Amino acid sequence: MEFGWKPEEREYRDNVRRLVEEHVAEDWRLVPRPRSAKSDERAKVVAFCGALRDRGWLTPHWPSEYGGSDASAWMHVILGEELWSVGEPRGPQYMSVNWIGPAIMANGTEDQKREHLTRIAAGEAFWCQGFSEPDAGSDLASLRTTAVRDGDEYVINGQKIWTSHTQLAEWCFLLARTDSEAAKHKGISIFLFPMDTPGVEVRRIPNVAGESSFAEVFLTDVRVAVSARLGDENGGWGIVRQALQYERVGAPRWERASRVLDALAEWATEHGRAEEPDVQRLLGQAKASCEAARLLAYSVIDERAKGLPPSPQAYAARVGMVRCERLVAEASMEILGERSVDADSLSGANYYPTMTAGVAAGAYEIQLNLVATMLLGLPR
Amino acid sequence: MDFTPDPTQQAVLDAVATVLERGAGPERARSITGIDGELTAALRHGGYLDLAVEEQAGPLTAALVVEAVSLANGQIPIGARALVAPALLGPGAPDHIALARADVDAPVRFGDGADLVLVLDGDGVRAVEPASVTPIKSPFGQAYGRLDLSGGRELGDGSADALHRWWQVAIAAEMVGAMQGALDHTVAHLSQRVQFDRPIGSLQGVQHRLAEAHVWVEGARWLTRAAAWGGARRDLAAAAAGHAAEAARIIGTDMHQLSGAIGFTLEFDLHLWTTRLHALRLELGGASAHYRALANATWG
Repeated sequence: MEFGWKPEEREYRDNVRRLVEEHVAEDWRLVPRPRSAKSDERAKVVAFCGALRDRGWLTPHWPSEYGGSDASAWMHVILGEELWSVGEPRGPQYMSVNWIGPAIMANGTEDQKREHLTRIAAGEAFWCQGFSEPDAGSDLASLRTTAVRDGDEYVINGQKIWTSHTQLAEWCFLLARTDSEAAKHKGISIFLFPMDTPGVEVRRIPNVAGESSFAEVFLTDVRVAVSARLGDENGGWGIVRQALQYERVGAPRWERASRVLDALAEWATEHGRAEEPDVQRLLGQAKASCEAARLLAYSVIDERAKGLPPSPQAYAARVGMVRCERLVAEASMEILGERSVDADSLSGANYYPTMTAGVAAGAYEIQLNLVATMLLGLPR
Repeated sequence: MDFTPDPTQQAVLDAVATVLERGAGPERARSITGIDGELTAALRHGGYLDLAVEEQAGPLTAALVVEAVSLANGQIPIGARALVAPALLGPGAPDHIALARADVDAPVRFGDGADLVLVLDGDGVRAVEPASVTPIKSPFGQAYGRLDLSGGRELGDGSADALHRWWQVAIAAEMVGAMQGALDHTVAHLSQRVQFDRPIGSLQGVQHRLAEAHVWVEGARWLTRAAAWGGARRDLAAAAAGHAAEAARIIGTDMHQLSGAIGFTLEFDLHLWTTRLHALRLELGGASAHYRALANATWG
């Protein structure tokens, strides 16, 4: 047991930081803005991912046969920390690298691997996730979108919601019901298809969380080839459970929260408030929770680096992450006081976006249910 | 980064588990008044008290032992002896070390029975062999005493800082062990306690509080281990102690709330962990003081 970084890991982090300074514009850093306000988003994401790819840093933890460099999961987390904290200049590609690619790697046909993994590793793939539905949120397995077999095709009908990155996405990783007679977990399949397939319609959802990329996706008689199915028919749930465990620790929210806190401490110093006991207590409390969340997440990365299967520790890590983001947001509200209402203040820019942490990737309460039953062994 | 014990650490943990199985546990804790000298002696014979300054082990291994002893309810000042004393005095310190602050007029934990008291006094530390002790009756589960803290041998430069930092790590490690004990005990009880025709532990309102407690313990656990590994660096030590102290307040109260009336009884044992938790979380000014220290260490 030890908690240090290896020299090559430190060097990698320094290099990624340098790349961020060179390639990521100031207006993308730290303070998140609605994505619509980011000009030329697509071009910037492609350029940045290209720069990562050219250095072999886009998919460092992937096996070399799929365009990676067989590096440890720690390299991936370092990359995530450095990029998520500056507004995620990979755009939706962080998701492709984190869990869509690995899901295809583990379950795809040779053709699917060739087509998708090559493109993801090249930094040219933009995906969105077709999971939630109006009547299937926390209870994801009760989804109703159907995919009905018709010869060599499936015909998909239904509606998805809360889908991020639709403004850029070219591909969709979709869950649909292929057997409506079976138990709800046993009739779900996964489909990978282009967003410009006829019958796909996207509608943005205005919201207060600063996520201008939230959208509804309507699917009307969308025809996809049988070869677009990932894994077995009706075998989608097992794949998605694994993918969700990657997703839960996919965004290194602790690091970004910790940097917001640095900015808050700087503000307190500049405004002569750094010596106030209340300010110090709030900053220290939030800092401790960021570091706790970091270590909880690292304990999950450690399992991954050792090649162990995803474990329920990811649920506890997610709980820790949500807590630390909330504490940082709250510290910022308390310390800045009514100055928070300015959209350009640290609170104004962070409070609403952090509210999504407890809802995205499975509600906080769902994570608690899973911690209770799977980690503590409490009766159902 | 490596979150699993290495072979040396695992061997130590296994061996200490054997010692604790024989010489600790709730039943023994209930029967002991004062310090359990036999348990300290058994740990000393095994060579588990000076691991912090042994080349093959180090403070992290010592912290793992402190967690384990506290989990098993060992009635000894294990944090002070296994983490603080080696850092300040080197190997071979007396068995029973108590820690005290000259500026706080309060009973000293394990003051009744301590061979040596390390007194934090402004910028210095004095090692005091207590001449006389007034035992204090305390509902906080340990052998408290009031001592004459004057005189003693002055330790060298930097001792005050080292004492403060290692003291934080020591109480954090003890809190982690005790929180785990309280949580395990409560989970076991609520898994079989039936009301409304179902185990209470299957109710979501109960499950959520236990799950949150679990995340608190695990967060405090890794912070504490990282702080021990990092030589009790000022920010790491304060983060561990602060997070553990806040967690201890929540767990020390929630486990009783969830256990209901049986939780207050002496026969149920929950108090063996929770009473100590409340004492530990107050030391060195409690969570607020640790958090302020963390802010100063990080941005000051």
